[in-house]
Amino acid sequence: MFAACSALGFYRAFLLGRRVRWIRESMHGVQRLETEIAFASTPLLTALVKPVLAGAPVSDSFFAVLRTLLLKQAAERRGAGEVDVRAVWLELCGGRLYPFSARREELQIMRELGVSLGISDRDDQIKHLRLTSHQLASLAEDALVEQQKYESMWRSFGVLGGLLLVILFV
Amino acid sequence: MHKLEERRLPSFLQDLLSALPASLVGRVEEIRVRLGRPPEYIAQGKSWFVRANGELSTDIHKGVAVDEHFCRKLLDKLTAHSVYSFEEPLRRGYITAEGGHRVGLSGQVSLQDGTVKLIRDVTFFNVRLAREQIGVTKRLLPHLYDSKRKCFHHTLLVSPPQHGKTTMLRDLVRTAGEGFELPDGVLVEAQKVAVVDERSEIAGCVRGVPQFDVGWRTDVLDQCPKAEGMMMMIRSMSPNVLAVDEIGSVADAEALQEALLAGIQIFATLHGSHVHELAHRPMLRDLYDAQLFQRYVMLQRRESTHLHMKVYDAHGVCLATILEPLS
Repeated sequence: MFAACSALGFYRAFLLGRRVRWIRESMHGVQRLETEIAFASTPLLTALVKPVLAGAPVSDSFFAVLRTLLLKQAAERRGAGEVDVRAVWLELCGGRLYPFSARREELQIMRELGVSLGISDRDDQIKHLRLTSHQLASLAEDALVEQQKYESMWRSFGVLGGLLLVILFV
Repeated sequence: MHKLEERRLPSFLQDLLSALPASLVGRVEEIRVRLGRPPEYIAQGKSWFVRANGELSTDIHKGVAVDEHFCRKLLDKLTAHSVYSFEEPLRRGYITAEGGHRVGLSGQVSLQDGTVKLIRDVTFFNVRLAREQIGVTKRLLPHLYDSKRKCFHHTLLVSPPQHGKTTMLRDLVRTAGEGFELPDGVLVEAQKVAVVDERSEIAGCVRGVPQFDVGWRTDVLDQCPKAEGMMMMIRSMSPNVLAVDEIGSVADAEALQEALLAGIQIFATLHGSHVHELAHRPMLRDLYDAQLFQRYVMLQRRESTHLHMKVYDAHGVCLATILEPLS
């Protein structure tokens, strides 16, 4: 019981850190996407399946998961021309694949970007991407404050809660 | 090489054609989509509309109208969800889709410094389906090939839009790049052919690979402006024959003049209703007066099943009239 409560506390503390990392990785992905669109006019699918956009090889970041889903859909269907990039993006923003590390706020920001992505000219796309990047940066700051504030609290809470339960049951 | 039904169609075209019976799919030449109105399928000069029950009708009022969502989805598929990477085509007003199908666009334009930046709200589409007619120029070749000099005549194909200029040019390119046999039994060897395909309509290139049969000895410069492309091909690929589609600007005419004098045989096309009117067009008057083109071919469709070809010499004298059935 003590071990279970401690693990739960440590896990909650870990999630706070993971959220910060998730938001930062998404922000970097958005910035790289902006570069692809602004300087090379790379079509959306080509840009999104580039490994550089996904970040670390083993990652649960938004762009890493998106890349996997897009490649899977391209393989399942008859080729890149059949992939519905927007539908995949919006499905990912539904949060089904991120029950813990991402919250509704960040997924909502990514969802808003997904709705406007690819439907207008380059200047407009850059504005949308920069806005998303700013929003994610501000969210990352809030998430960092939250992490600093509650990370050690969750760890202590888990350990002490476990101890308390042990004492109560003994 | 391939008929329309046998080639892999882009997904937007599959969607548009899925409503049609197989008998009509192979004959459709043009599809017009207009917001709030039924899609119009044009085949052999007749317009067809799909009714709610899936049957075809020639009455526009019985067709099912398309909505804004349909148009947005169509543009989405055409641009692969990346409108920003199609800014130049959207400024020019057309996109060439995979397979060489040209999609004309119209709607509300966005201006920048008084010039068109791009078409912002695309609500009208005109899909022109590209087709191959292998061997359509067979009967024309004896008039375009000079057996004494062992080379082609400089040839200009002239017709109003939608009369088969590009189809004809594509077959000429294929024939020149593959070699052929004249009616008197003389074998003409394959020539080195260079194609400047500004709109990807002649070869229908996808990532630089021709989707149409353009012959074994043919090199294609895809999506390059004609005037610049002609000079590039002459310098880099040393062709015997140079082919370009739809000469339209003064720069094109000047580059063509350079090429005509560079010892390369030219195949070109031009929008026009008669050969003699060339003398009155400022852009081409010099070329016509100097008799640089040795053959003019005037194309006209007859009853949408036959192609009527008239061959003229450099002076505008009619040399032959050919009636070619269309497959």
